[in-house]
Amino acid sequence: MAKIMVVEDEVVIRQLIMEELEKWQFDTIGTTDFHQVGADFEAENPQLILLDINLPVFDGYYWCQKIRETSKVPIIFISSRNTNMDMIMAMNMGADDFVTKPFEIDVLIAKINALLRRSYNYVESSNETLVHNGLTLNIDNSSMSINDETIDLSKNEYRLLYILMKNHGKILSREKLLRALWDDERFVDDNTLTVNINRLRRKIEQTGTAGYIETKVGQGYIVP
Amino acid sequence: MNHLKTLLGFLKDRWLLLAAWLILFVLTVLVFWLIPHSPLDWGTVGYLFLMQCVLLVFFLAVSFLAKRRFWQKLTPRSGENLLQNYLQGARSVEEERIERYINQLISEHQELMQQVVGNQEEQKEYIDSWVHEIKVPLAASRLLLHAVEFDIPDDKFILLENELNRIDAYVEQVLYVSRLDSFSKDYLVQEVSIKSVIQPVLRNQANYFIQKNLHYKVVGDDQPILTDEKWLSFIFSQLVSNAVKYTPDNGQLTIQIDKDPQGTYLRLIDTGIGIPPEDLRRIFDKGFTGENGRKTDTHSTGLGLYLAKNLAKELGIELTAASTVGKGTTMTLFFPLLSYYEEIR
Repeated sequence: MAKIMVVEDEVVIRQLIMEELEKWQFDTIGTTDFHQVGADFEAENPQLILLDINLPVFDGYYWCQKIRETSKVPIIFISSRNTNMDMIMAMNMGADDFVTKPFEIDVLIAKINALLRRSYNYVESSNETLVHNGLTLNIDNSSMSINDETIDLSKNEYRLLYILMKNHGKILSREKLLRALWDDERFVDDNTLTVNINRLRRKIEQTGTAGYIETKVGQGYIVP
Repeated sequence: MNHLKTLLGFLKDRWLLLAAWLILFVLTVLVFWLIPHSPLDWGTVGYLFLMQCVLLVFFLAVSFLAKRRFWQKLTPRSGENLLQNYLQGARSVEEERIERYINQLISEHQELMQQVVGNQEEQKEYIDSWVHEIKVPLAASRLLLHAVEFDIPDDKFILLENELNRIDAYVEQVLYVSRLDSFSKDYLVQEVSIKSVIQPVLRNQANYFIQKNLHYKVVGDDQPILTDEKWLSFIFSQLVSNAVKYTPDNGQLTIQIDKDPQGTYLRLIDTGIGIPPEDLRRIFDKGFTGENGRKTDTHSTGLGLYLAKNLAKELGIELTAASTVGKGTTMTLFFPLLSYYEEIR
């Protein structure tokens, strides 16, 4: 899996980003010595760099320029600086993207994935799946395989099943599921959620597995 | 007219001199008249008077001209910055005193101004750096919250997330207030699509929509506009957060994009409590909270719409409001089409 270098001097943020990246099966390297970010880069040769602007010793712009002298590795800036000037400067120094603090980790992961895909022509490991309790969710073509049957899922069904399986064993409230179904054009209401859950259940039951998704009255849904 | 007034003013200042001269003249005539066998007759008196008058007028004229020269320096001309021009060219002792006094005033004022401007600059820099500092722990908190998302009860998670969002929004507001007057240094006008601006804003406030079960829909085709994305999204987020705040549960929010030959319209139509007509004119004023803002649990600061309006103005966007109490409010952002005709004008 791709190796990502996190150049960030705030320990907590660095740790949390690295933990999250590891959850997504990335290899991570955290920088601790800010005198030799360049040397670390040469030694580790990561596929992508997350770079803060405000760093001890030299700032992020400096390292970005330094790295660009020798490499075309994708670089994403992560900073609390958010003026247009900062962003333009970052881009001119050769950065590929700019994320301002505070950020949603999901957004960062999405950007990393997109950038990796573009830079290395990843055919996003076509066997990417979530497996739980005999059901396999195929992430790249949003279908599920269960009891030797493969069934296509609608966008909403896929989103629901994905978040439920990823957090199996935990009750997910309706609010959280509605967040997962968020649509940019119109509000997805409670009824839509109920309808989609029911359709999903029916699709799973048709293959002979009952009770894959349980209802917790007043709390939400759970994939045990 | 003006000269006459100056002249009259000059004479008025010299009334003591004129009176003294008159008294001395009368006294002289009196003394001569009292001398026995005085040769004084009316002809001589008249002759003396006339001669003295001529001399007096000559003297007054010379002193008036000298005075007027100085007075002109003391008269403010339109468009002139009084606090930057030192006085000079005083000739009499009195003028020199005035000149020294005024010049000292000017220099003290300049020193004070420099100090004030310096302080303000320092404060602004401090706020800027503070905002950046506070964003680091804020970012860390967000990541931490995300890390424990499924380990803590959902309602607590959402409450905490809402609080973080609120801190974030207030911090942003501080930043935008302090940047408002240095706006010209930080904008980048590009062609952006309206939807790409409004979608992240709505998504950011998703929690509120879900909790209040507010149904929103985006109507109309996406349109390209020329503007600064970051500032526009701040303006729009102020409007959305107001709409969410003042719309009761289960309400409806419509975001409508229209285009006509004049330009592009972005309307935010809510089914909220509405704004009373007497307040409507003033909602964009700084610090104005109005009837709605005084209601409990809204935490109105009277800053959001003020900022939105001013930033919009800077960007050449027209922000207007229309409202019916009890039915709802429509906020309209109008992006006029830039035509060559207007540019030439």
